[in-house]
Amino acid sequence: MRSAVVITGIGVITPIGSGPVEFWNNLLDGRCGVDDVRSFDTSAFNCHRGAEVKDFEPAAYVKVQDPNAMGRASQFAVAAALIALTDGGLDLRLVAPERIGVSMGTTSGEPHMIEHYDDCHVTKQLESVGRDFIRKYPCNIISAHIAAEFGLEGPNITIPAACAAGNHAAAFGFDTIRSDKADVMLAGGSDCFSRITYTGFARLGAIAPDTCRPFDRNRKGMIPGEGAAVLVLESLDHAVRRGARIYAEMASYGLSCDAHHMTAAHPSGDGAVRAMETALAEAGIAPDEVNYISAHGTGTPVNDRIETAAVKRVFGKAAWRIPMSSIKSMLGHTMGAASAIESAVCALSVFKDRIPPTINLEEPDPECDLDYVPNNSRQHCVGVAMNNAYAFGGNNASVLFRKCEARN
Amino acid sequence: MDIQEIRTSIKASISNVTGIDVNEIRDDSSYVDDLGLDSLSILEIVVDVEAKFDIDAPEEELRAIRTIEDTVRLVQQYVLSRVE
Repeated sequence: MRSAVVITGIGVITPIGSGPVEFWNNLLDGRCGVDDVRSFDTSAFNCHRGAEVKDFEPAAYVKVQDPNAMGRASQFAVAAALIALTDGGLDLRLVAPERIGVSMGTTSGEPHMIEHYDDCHVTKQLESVGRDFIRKYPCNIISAHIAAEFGLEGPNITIPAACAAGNHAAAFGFDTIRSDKADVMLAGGSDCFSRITYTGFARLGAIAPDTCRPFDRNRKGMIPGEGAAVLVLESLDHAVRRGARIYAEMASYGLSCDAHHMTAAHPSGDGAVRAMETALAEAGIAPDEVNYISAHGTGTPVNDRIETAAVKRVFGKAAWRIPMSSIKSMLGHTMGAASAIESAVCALSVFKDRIPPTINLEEPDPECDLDYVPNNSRQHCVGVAMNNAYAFGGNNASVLFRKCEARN
Repeated sequence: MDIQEIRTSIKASISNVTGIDVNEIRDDSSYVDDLGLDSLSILEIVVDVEAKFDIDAPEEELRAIRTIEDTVRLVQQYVLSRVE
């Protein structure tokens, strides 16, 4: 009998606050983390807006390792893991270390290391590239740094599935616990703001000049962001035995690939539909039992239209009754962290029966006519929440959360 | 409300959702074979019609609809039963 998997701890580092309390309150208040980019010069581009994490002090969170021995994405990841472990009240002295693992998602890994290498290359100073370069830039280092900080000797992986990476990391954690290879998995995602990533999206023409307006008629694109989230996934037995507070159960996931285009979504949204339907079938949940959808909702003209159509195809008439909001309206697109932060939000919405808004929704788009929880958060009974994420390469991932009776 | 008014209103919903000119929609037009619509467009028409007539028909009844006339008969049935 395979164990149920529950969420017992949440840690977040975001452009609108850290930790489950500050972040959740700011989210419900509709706080916007989008501002003019400060960390590098954007004069070469025709866009200058981003959602950066303000005033992050690595030394406040990274205590065992040297915070300067790792990049910003790893610092975020360790910070989010510390917050999650503390929030979950998990005493690591009472758990066999090989029974706790880590799975983290990312889009860009540690891009500042690549930027430093490029700068050295262009100025013909390759000899300035340090001996630490090889252990600082590969993205697998993110999960490894969490393990090293807390002595977690179970399965360890970084999944570079771009904008769906957080959901993939949760899926890996889920399967690892259900196949009894671990009792606890720290699963999440992390990405930092960088020149490389910003350049990539700017050259694609994907960045909005003003702000992120998912589903709005005048939406003009996404806003790059940064951050991290870590969820403590635990087997139900393990959680109940130690008297843990349980936010929600992670019920299932569904994965698919469009097999179509590297940056454009498939126009029919078939892949997105399949990921949602798979998650629902695996959990034995009917579409009209879903009470809240956390949308991918990047604010690009194409994504929001195709995502709306895909939701209608899965949910039928119920699509018009199920509130669906995009927190990217407040955080920008935090890349590999996005679906991990959104999973944290789903777990909190199930636990607290409140749902965050889509802000900046001023003029409805006739093609996007669902209930996007415009501008104000809402009290709403959430028995089941769905988290959807769609990544470059046509990678689609949906995760379902539901209320857990044994909440402690 | 008479049957002709129901028919006109439904054709207006179809035109609104799909952009097809109302004059090209015959009473016996089939959604899929004649108008070339996919399941998403049909769903959006259903939602528009239900909102207009304040109806909430179960999914099984909606699945049986193939033509404009099927829709007219379904709406008429709900509207008439309400009056009684």
